[in-house]
Amino acid sequence: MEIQRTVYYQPAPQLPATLLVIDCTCRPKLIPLKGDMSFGRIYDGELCDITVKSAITGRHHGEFIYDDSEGVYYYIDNNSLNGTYINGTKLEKFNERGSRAFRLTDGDILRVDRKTLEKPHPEAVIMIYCTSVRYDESWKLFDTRRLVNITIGRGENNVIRLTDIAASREHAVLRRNPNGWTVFDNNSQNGISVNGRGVNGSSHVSDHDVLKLANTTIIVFGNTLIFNNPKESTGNLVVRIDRKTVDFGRKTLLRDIGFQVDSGDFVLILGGSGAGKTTLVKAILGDGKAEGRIILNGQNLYENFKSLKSQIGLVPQFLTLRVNDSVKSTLMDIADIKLDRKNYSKEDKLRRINEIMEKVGITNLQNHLIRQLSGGQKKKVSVAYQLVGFQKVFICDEPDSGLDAASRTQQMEILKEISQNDKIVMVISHEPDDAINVDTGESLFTKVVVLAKSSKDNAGHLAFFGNVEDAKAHFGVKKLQDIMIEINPPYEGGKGKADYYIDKYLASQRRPRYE
Amino acid sequence: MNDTSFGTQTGVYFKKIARISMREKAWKYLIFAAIIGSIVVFIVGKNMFKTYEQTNSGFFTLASACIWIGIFNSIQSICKEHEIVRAEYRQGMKLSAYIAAHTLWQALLCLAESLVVFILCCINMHFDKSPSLMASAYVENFITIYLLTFGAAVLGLMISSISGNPTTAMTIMPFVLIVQLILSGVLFKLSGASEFFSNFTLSKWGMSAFGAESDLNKLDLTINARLLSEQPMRYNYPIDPNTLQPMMLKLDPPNKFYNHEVGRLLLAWLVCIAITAFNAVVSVVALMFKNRDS
Repeated sequence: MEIQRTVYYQPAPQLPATLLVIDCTCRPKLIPLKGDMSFGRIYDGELCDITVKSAITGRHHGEFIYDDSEGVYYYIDNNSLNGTYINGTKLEKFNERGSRAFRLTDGDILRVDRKTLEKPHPEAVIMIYCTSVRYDESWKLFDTRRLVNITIGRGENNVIRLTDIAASREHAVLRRNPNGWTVFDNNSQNGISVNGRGVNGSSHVSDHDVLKLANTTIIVFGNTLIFNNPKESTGNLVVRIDRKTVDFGRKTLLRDIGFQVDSGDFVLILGGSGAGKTTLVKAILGDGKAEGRIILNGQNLYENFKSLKSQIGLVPQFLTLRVNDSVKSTLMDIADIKLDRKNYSKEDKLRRINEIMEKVGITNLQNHLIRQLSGGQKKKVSVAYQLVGFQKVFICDEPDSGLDAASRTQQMEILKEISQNDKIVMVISHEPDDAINVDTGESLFTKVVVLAKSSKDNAGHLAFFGNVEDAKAHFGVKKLQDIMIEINPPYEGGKGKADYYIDKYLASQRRPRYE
Repeated sequence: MNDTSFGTQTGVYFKKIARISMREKAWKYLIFAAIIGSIVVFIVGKNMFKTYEQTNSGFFTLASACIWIGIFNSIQSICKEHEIVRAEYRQGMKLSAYIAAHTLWQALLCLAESLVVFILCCINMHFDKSPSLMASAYVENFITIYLLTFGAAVLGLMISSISGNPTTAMTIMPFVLIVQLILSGVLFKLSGASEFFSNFTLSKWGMSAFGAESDLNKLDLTINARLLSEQPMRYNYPIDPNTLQPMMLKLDPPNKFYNHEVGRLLLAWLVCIAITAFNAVVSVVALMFKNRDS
């Protein structure tokens, strides 16, 4: 069981602006703001960009205006009948066109409501302007009808359990009172705010109020609490390799490699022989340092190698486990080495080992010697071995080699599941099309890195980085493995178009991108 | 998550090495030691403590056997798992704990092997004829056998740490053994650089311990023994052996490393221990160097 200290809250790097909209349907919608956008009620005629089902909202209620010189959004109320309240204050009419433009910042709360905000209108609309929430972040609804006390925190016994590592284990308590709720701060490290104002000890919370606990936003909406559960912001890996040379700089193996992957990503590394896949993996591991930097959790791996190296695990192509040891002993020994006695008792370690064996599907093999296992089973043990130490990044060198098609798919499914636990899993594979969801037929990979050997300098270059569909479109192929045919040289059975795709990718990166 | 301490890791690795060694039939090393020991003891045993040369050769053969047994224990133990070591080092393994665990296991294995060899020696080597320096000739000879075997095992660990793979290690091993034999000072008289380098060999200090303990310098040379045993005659009358004593050949000068002194014996043991410790440290450094990028 991982016991993690609460970290000090730090505003996350600014993300693309989004608007969380909740109307009387009580279904939170996260809408990405893309330039100037109008806001209003759904009606039969012309539609606004952002629409709500609310009788008290005007048909052209307001406007979100993007100032591209500063990269910020402003909001203008179009002199609507019921007006717009921002952080509890109504925007006043400025001229015949509308109110003054209000410059929005992360966490600003916009409401279309009646004057008595503490007693909101049944059709009131609440909108939260966010630049710290990921567009794909999940929002949860929590029914409070039967509850009087609601404990909130990271601890296992809380009613609302948060994953946000900036939230304390026992962060706060919401206690019902005749007029709504009272929130009590349990001396949490990062505190609470209600509608943007900090809470000192306790504070009254009315319907439609917005609580903020570090990176978590909780909206009280009638008998429902709506909250996000942000992922740990510790899992991202930025790779920037300018050059990787050998033979005292005489031979360049890799040049100009740059990409970023986030926790939860399941990344495929593709490339022909000599394109630099293994060199790239070694550079990311820190085994063969390159000119450039590898940033893990905001820290430079090469500068903090001793403290960060254990967070990147390698599942090698060939077994690096002692074949005459049993599966369970192998896992227990690495748990004894990696997990210190202060924080982990023998039982904790055993529980963790059992969980991992179950997750990877080797519980029934725990007493077998490793030499008695099949190739696929050995690879599962290798994966389990790496899982023991809470690594953030897993790099798997051909985890599917030597396996039949069904086992390859199963192996990839296991790795995908691992990535979904806020890990980054990077895989070198020559059978990438076997990594599919068997129900939907969709690829399990979320990102693809394609390396190709340039004929100009004989070094590996980035020929593509992005999602699976874009990769197929970039190379004009239907299957991922057909990418190899496009980039491999003719003497290896390919079309020899590596230079073309390297240049094409470079050109696409130079074009300005709008999100 | 914090990495665990040196002591904890040493314990974990010791148990792991012991467990795996038992699965890999570590007892076969005892049989191997018994076979080598038997051959040595039964060939040279009957001539021990009779003449200087025969006893010197006997101890030299015994010392060589101990070095062979020790080095053979461990020569492949690390080089066969360099990739595993690299992977575990990334995971937080302390190389010093890893080597310490191997050294402890070798200490245990060598103890058992030394006991086997010692028992065989007791049967046919006549340690009872050997004068004692401190407590008992048996104990003193056992300690020397053990220190030589264990020292050679750690020497094997060092070679294994330096070698990239088992083939390389097995190629290096005969050269190391030859160096040990030549620099022991038994086969050839050493001088200059060879004498200097011999100070770093287990064989030399092992021979010193055996020689000092058994008071090798006091034993008759073979030629003298033969002279005395053949009843020399003069004018058909046998010569009184006492009158022959001044005519006997003597080592000139006597080998100072075989001086029958407690200090000499203790020094020999201490140097063996120091060489063993040095080899263990070199093993750690070699692994650190090999894994410097990991």
